[in-house]
Formats: sequence, structure tokens, C-alpha cells
Amino acid sequence: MRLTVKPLKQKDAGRGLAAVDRASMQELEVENGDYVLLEGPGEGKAVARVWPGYPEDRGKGVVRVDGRIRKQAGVSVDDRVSVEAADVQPAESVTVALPQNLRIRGNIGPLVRDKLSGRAVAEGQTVPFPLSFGPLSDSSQAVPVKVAETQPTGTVVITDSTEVVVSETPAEQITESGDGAHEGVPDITYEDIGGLDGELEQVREMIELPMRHPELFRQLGIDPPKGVLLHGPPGTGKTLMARAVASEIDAHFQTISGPEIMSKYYGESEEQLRDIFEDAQENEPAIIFIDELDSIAPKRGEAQGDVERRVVAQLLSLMDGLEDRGQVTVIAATNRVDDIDPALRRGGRFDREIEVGVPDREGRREILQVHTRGMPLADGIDLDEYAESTHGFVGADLESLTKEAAMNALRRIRPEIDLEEEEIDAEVLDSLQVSERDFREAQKGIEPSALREVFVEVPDVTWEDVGGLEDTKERLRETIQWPLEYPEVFEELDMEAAKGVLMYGPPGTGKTLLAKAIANEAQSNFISVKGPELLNKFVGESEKGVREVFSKARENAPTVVFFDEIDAMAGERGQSSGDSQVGERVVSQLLTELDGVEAMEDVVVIATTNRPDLIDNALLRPGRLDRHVHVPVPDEEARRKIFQVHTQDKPLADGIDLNWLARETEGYVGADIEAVTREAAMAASREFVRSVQKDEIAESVGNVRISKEHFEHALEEVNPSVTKDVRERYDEIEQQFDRDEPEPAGGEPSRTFQ
Amino acid sequence: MELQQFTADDDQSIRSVRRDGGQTVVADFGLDASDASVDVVGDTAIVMHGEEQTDIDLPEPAARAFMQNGVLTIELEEDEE
Repeated sequence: MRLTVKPLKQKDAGRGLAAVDRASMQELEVENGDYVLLEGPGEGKAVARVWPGYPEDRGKGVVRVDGRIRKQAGVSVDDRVSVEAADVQPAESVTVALPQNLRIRGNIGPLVRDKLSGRAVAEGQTVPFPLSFGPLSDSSQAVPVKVAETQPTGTVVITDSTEVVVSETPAEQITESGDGAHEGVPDITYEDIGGLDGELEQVREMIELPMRHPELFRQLGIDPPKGVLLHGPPGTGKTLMARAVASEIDAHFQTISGPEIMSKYYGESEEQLRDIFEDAQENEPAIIFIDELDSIAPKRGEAQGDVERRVVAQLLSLMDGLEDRGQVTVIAATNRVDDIDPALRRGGRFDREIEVGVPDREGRREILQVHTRGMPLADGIDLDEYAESTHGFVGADLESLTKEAAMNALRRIRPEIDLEEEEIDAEVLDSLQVSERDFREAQKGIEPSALREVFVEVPDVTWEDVGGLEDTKERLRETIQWPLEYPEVFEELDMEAAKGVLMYGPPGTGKTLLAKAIANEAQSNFISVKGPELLNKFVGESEKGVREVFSKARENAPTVVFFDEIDAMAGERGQSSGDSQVGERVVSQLLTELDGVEAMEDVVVIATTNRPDLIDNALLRPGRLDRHVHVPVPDEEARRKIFQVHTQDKPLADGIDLNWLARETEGYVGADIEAVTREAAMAASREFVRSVQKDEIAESVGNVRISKEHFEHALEEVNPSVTKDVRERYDEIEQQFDRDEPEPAGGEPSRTFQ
Repeated sequence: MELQQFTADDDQSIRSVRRDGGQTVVADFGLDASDASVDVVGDTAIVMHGEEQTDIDLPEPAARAFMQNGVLTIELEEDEE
């Protein structure tokens, strides 16, 4: 029967499976696991095992196979292929040929048999042999083994009793029968791309359809698209996608990399460009791929040199000159889409722009599945866990994560490898396994590349390190952690997560510490903005800084953007006169970013200040920094907890009562309490160092205790930083904010202020 | 191993499909397990693969279980509701 070919899900790829729905299975009279023979329109044939179809395919007459089988059968996605139950004989003997460059000692015949056992092969077929190891082999993750001869002939299945002979002749010398692969076509299939299904579908629609069925476009009386522009942050898979499309439709593939075509001679750069387009037209169907388009086609108005301008002009005219048959398509990739000459971005040239974004969790899992496919993973590795904890990672980061993990595994067995030997023992190769620890170690060393410029090491502060402030902590957790942890609740109640939180309170009460704890606990990316850093002497540059921070945050969502001392950069507008009014423009920019036309998905802003009365009012209204959290001067109970945090690792003398300390420290804030404990410890060490001989210090240091006298001394030294005046002023501010604060929706009583 | 645990395992290609009249769990043990076989004893499916043995506890007796070229299929009866 004839079925339509579709790609397989990433996790099922590389196993020789063909997903067929139930109805087709019944018609074919096969069960799960039976062999079926897929025959393409040409010479191609492939054998696969039946796998239950995906629910979304029911009744659509679809067979899903991976890229390798598609290649063997000589079909591509959306082609029709004939499928029938295969009569497969057990093989008596099989002769295989290995690639010339593979150096393995010993008779690997039995090893090959073990690995290929159960696989159906036919003469002339190349089967990937999962022996090599991620980073060791260059591009593919398996050694291609060629089947030179089978006994009996026809399609056979290798069993445990099959004799496997390794041929003397290397695989390269056995001429390929059947499909002669095009030269210059990369060997990448759709299954090698994870998490970009939507984008891939768009690209295919734009490129595959016109190439394969130009008559459709003729019927509609429209010109097929000539170019697609892929843009997105570096490492998200733009190049990979272009290569996969070229490989799947078996088109001639030409790459232009910007700097290569530049020449110092007048007119030569343009000539090279022309040559490439001519070459592509001769080899139709062809795809021309321009990587880093911004390097050869910058805005002509801004281009530095004459050459760039002429190259852009040449590119424009070449793209306009492409024949309308759609047999030559240009794919370009860039990560700076706004730097490209606008004339290139109109219809008729790059007709469609497709954004390739940073992958979400589901996408990251697929990408990890792709990269660990050929990797021998130890039991118990849960890729979901790594997908969860790699916010902001792009495909390239995930690839280097798996690569690094594999290198760690390699390092472990390094002592067993004798580097002097020419070949590596097959046993050792087989024992290589990537363990959970390898992954964890690797994760420490890799940070998301898109965030590298603004990335801050997430501080190692947890909620436990914050003494007291229970209500404040709870409020922050609700605002920041809940939307990420329980998105379904927010969806059900049709509410949007808060966009911003303003923490205010007297100096030293722990606002910055709270922000650090959030950064650590929220499982998000964390961008810390220091106000004055954004200011720049050039007009417009300061606002640009704000814009960049937010666009980075959006690209890498979920993100927490943290503004410390926001009053420095978001003062009341209309107050200053005479200066350049940079401050005002920064505030305006902040306002539009927070509540602009562009949605801030999963980006939360946290700002701290101790002068909330100075902040521009517009910034504090709902929809912007709508949550106002007062971080109060700690009461007695809170002070006790803060003392507990600061003294838990200090050797206290018996009888030091934290309650007494808390009672004595009315008006002290967190920072004061820290100073008290430090001063007390300092007094104890002063006494100790003066009373003990220098050479005895190491022995007796374990006996040092901080006594009550030390604390009394410290309390005299450190004065409370919150005086009555300060407190009164904050009480006033609090009341003022209390009035301003609107009731939260749903009639819930406002609990923002305690 | 419980069936739920088994289907949640990421290492293997596993599908759990609903068909008319019950649930079917299909798992691929890979091509090197083509000699593997499955036995159902009461509420337990026992997969024998060389010297390895995997026990899978089923929530209910299987209607049918078979292994074909490394692909395990367990069909469960529909629960009475």
C-alpha cells in the first residue's frame, strides 16, 4: 500500500523504526516490531520495524521514518512510498566493509554482529554502526559500515548465529549502487533538528514546495518565493536548518560566507557572487545559503566602504534576476536582522523572514535527545531534568554541554588508554559511558551564550539565609516563583503574572539580599543592572542601554531583571531643568519597556530603593512596578532570626541568649546586626590573639568562644542606623503608598502592606 | 518496575497508545534485543533478554503480550468503569 512519508519524532529516530497507524497496520497484516519494506519511486529500498503510529496521524495514511531510512528508500518528506510486509530471511553470513580511516585492533566481527543483531540489511546498504563516540568521530555519531555481501542474497536479518566477516577492502572502494549522493549536499536530516518544528515547517513550505511542485504556483499565477531570511540569536540552528532542507530535498547546495567573497581587486567580489549564482543555476535545483548576511549586505547608507555597497547592489540585482521557476532559492541567516539593507528585505527578494528563537523546555529536550542519540548514556540520566535547568541555552550551548559531558567521560578512562598504541582496544571503546556526574560537571562550566554579556553568576543565597521578613519572602515568592512554577493556575484564573516588584525600606534591611535569594531560587536567568552603568555621555545611548537589557531579557526568558537603587535612574520627571534630561528619557524608556506594545513574557523586574518618594509616579502604577513590598525595620522576633543566621557558624559561649540580643537591639537593621556579630567576633579574636603565644595559636584556636562581654562591647560600638526620625519618615511613606495602592483584582484584601 | 515507571523512562523509545478497548504499551528494546522474549505471569510481564531480565508490574492482567524483533507490545484490557 502507498503511504505518505513524514518525519519521526526525535526520540524515536535512529532505531530503524517506521511508525504506522493501526488501520494501515491491519491492512498490511503486520504487528508491532514486524519488518516492512519501504520502496521509493527510484531504486531505493529500506527495511524498518513497525512502530505504533502517533495519535495525530490516525487515519491519515502516514508512515513516519527517520532521515536515514528516507535516504535509503530515496524519498523525502511528503512523498508517497510503497510499504509492504517484508519477508526477511535470517542471514547465514554477512561480509561488511569498514571505512578506511577506522583503526580498531582485533577481530571486531563478533562486535559488529552484536551491535547489528536483529537489523535487516541488504547488499550495498550502509548501516551506521554505533561504536564510535560523540567527540571522537567528527560529524556523524556512528561509523558507517557497508554491507558488501550477504548469504543468502536479498534482505536478510542478522541473528546471533550469523557469521560476520570484515572485508579486507575498505568501504570507500566498493562502488555505491543505487543512489549516488549529490556532491556538496550536507548529510543532515530533519530529525537532527530539535525544537524548531514550527520554523522548519515554514522553511519547507517556502522552499520545498516550489522546488518540487512549481506547477502549483503556476496554476495560482504567482511567483514562487525566492528567498528566506532566517534570523535569531547565535547558535539557535539557522545554519543547521538550511543544511537540513538542502539535504532533504537533495538539492545542490552552495554556501557563501561573507568574508570569503571579498576581494581587494575592484569588481572581483561581485564577480565571485555572480559565479556562485551562475553555478547554482546550472545545477538546479539548488539552494544558495548566505551565512552571516549582515557582513556582506549592511545598510548601504551606513556601509563603510565602497565594496560593501557594490556587493549589496550586486546581490539585489542577482536576486531579482533569478528565474521565476523557483528552482534556485536563497536562504540567508543573520543574527543582526536590523543591520541588513532594507532593499533586501522587501518582497521578491527575501520574501519571508523567519525568526529562529531560543528554544523552550520542550525544544531543549528534543535538542538534547538529538545530541545524545549516539551517546552511551549511563542508566538513570533524565534528560528532562537538564532541559528544565538550562534556561536560555540555545542549541549550540546544549551541544557543547553534551560534548563536554562526553569529554568528562573520556577523561575518566584516559588512564586506560595507551596513547602510544596506534589503535584503541575495542573493549575499552565499548566500556565508555557518560554518567550523570559527567553531565553535572559539564553544566557547571557552560553558561547560556546569549546571556554572556550580561550574565551574572547566580549568587549562592537561599531563602534560609534571609532572617525574618517572612511576609516579604512569601510575597516575592508569589510574584516571581509562582507564575513560573504553576503556570496552569494563572491560566485557569486568567490572570497575568506581575511585571514588577518594588522593594523599599530603610538602608540595610536586606533588600539586595532578597533579590539575590530570588535570583537563586527562581530558576530563572538573572540580569543585574546597576543604574549609573547605563548612563552614557552620548545622546540616546543611555536609553539604548535600557532597551538592550530588556531585549536580552526577552530573548532569554524567563528572566529576572534586577535594578538596584532605582531612584538613581528613575527620579521624578519634570523636576530637573537645565541639564540634558537624560534621566527623564531613561525613565520614559523604562516605562515603555515595562508596559509597552511588546509583551514581556516571563520577564519580571525587581527594583529596590530606599527613597520610594523620589521615584517617578508613572513607574509605580499597576502594570509596571505594580507590587510594592515594604521591607521593614525588623521587629524583635525578626532580629532574633537575623542573629541566628549570622551566628550559626560562629562559636558562641554557653549562655548567650539570642532573645536577649534581640531585645537589646531595638532599631537595628539587618546590616547593623551583621556588624554587631562581626564586631563581637572581632573582639573575641582580639582578646585571643593578644593572650596566646604565636606558635600556640593553631592548637588553641578551637577553644575560642564569643562571650556575652564581647557582645556588650559590640553593642556599644555599633549604633542603630534607624533613628526615630527615619522610622517616622518611612511610616509616612508607607501610609502614602498604602493609599495609592489599588485593591488587587478579585476583591482579595490587599496584603501588600503589613 | 511499575508499568508507569517503565513508560516514563526516557532511555528507551516507549509509546503508550490508547486503542479501542484498552491501552497498549509499546517499547523498543533496540535491535540487539531481537532474541528477547516476553512472558506474562499473572500481573507481571517478564522480559527475558539474554541474561538480563526485566519485570514489569502491570495494573491488570495483560490481554496479550508479544515481542517482535526487539519491540515489546503489551495490550491491556479496558478498565470497567
